[in-house]
Amino acid sequence: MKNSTKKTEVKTTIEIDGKKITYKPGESVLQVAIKNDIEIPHFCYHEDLPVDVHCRTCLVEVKGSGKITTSCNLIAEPGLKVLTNSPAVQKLRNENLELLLADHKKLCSRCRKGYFCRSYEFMKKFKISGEKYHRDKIKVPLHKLGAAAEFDPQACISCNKCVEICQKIGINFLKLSGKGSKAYLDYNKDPKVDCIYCGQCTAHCPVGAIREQDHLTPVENLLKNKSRRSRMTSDKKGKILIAQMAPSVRTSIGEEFGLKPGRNMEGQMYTALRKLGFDYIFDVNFGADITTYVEATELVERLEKNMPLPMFTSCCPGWVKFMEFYHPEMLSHLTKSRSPQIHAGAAYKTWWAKNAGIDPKKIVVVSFMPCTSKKYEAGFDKLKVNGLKPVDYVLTTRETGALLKKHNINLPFLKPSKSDLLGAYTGAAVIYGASGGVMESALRTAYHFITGKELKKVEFQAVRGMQGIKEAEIQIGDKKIRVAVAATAKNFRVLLDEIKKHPKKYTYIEMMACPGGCIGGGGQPYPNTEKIVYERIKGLYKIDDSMKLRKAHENKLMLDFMENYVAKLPKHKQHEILLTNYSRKKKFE
Amino acid sequence: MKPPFPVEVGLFGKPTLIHNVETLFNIAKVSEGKYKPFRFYTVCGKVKKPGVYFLPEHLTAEKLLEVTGNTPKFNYFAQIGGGASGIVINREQAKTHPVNGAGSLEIYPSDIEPRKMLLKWFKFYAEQSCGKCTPCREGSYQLYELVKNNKKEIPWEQINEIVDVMGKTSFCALGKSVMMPVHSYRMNVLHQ
Repeated sequence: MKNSTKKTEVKTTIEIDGKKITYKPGESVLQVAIKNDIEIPHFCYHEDLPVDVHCRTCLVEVKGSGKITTSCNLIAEPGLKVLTNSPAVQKLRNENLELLLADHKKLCSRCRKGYFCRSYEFMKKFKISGEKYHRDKIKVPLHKLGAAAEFDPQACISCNKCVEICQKIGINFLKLSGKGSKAYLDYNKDPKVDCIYCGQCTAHCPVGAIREQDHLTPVENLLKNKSRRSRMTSDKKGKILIAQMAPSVRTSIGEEFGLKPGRNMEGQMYTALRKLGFDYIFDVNFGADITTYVEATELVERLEKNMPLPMFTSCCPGWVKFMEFYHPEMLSHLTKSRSPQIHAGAAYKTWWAKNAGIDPKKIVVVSFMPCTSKKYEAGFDKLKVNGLKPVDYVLTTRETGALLKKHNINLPFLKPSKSDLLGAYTGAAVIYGASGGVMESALRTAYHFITGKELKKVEFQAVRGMQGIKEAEIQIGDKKIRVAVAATAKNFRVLLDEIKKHPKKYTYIEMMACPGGCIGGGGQPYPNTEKIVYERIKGLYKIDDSMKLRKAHENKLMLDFMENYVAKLPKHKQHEILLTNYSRKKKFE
Repeated sequence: MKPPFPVEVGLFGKPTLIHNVETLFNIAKVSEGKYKPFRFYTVCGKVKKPGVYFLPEHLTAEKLLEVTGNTPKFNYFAQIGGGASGIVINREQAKTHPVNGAGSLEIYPSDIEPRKMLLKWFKFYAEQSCGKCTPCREGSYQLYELVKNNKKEIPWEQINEIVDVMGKTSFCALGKSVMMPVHSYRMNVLHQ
């Protein structure tokens, strides 16, 4: 029996533009082409989402019959021969591209997608002006998604990917309204449905119609002023620019420069940030070690003092918004701990500024994040420390790519360098980027706090990986605790239902809004697919594996900040630097 | 999303045969033992007695007009089959062309302005396109705009370009069908 099934699995071939190519049964011609780097233009195909056959630009000609058909739903069969660029294909494809891009408000020179805009790429390659036809009938204004992202119905080409990803992750905020040529991108008017600012839509939009809110322009202005001033001598009024990069950015930014996902570009990024003109290169990872310390302390306290359990992580602003909007009755479960970028920002503007003799008001902190909701978080007044926002601007990985390219910085060719002092971090920090990583880091430290001993084996394999929900049972001293990890709102709901049914089942739960955790975040390079996210995650664990220090509480600098600085402050100041609070949120709040 | 088509995966995920109401009507007639090879026709447009008629199958356009008392006293052309997407034939062709497809027959005076005809059809397509696929959603809108904004002449070349891409690359039969009225009208009526 075994032999016969093997025989049916024998790979077969199709011919694309005269080239014989093997395929796996069930694959479409477009999938085979993408795998083999044969370019067939497409807008509405995304490997994780339903095949829509909307855009009609992935046309091929079937040799023999001469039939022109879309390749995304043309299933490969033995002996199938197709042409991707025959005169008939060219004519019809170009006409469809012209029709499609008549919809798309073209602001290419200003568009932050830069070189990686799919529409711009195809327009250049196939000499599409996008001006052959005009469509001026949609007068729906730009809609802001909190302080995180925005969508412009006038740039939308109705490919429906944002609607599908929003549905897939379990929010259902975005939708297409209107019929036929009057269809436009819209949102759910139900007062019980709101966007959680995760930005997955922005990572799935092929034309930049849904995008992160612009922090690139103000950051560029800061850098411009900086370089202008540096030419003048003895300037004392200038701003001190601090750059800090999130764990996930280092294993994904390479994709913006054509590298394979998962390549660690940390050293090159430090060099690049210096070249851009930042004065100090720190790292969000330092903040992650603070967060782990604070969160593990709270977990131990909750366990000892019979406080509400399970405790939920709170470093994902999308997840926190989800709780504040959809489940305000459970807010007491969220850890009071702030998130890594905010912890680190506050450390720079208090402790570090004091030690360096710098006026904190002069410090501008720019975060480089895989996330759009971090922009929203950075804007919170409630997080201010001594009246200052811990983080001033947040650039997504895509914005970071655009910034580097605008400054002609070719990242892969840079010599790696080290961060400045406050870039010190442990392996526990870098895995924050992956779903399960925050949990794993906190457990490594909580184990130490509870038992006074160190874990021999630090890896918690059960909480790693791309599954939507992961669970594990962990023995810490004489305590057995059950933990769970969930990614995306769909899985939040499953776990919250389970908690309502069995309130004592779990002790500690990590929730992240994006598939795979921050590493699959809404600010990550396009395309953002599950396969790519999986590769990026491998990169993060590789960094952790290679580090000598892998537990947050081994970060001596962080301990110095916590024990010799924060611990000596009055209680309310400690609270102001380390902790936050939550409240019920209304729609659009 | 098709494929799979209903014959493979339909109701409850099972292969499904989909019937027209007229088919079920005929089946009922067969079961009653009263079946005869008749069908439903719609006669409309510039006629005296528009309506739905139940008459023998395979009537030619001219015959249908005659038996329903609708033979025009003016020179006319007709659109046959399925409303806006049907084939357009001239008076001469009406003698032999059967009223087939969905069985509709619409009569127009032959001196009607071509622009008016095109606007009527393109308005229909622009309004009825569901918006799913690019060529139909955008093409139908652009066709309507092209004719509406060109008051002096009909931009046939541009129309043909769009009609071609709609006919060859639209997702469903609606977008594909726009070729039918435009090409047949041009060939059978305007070029006569």
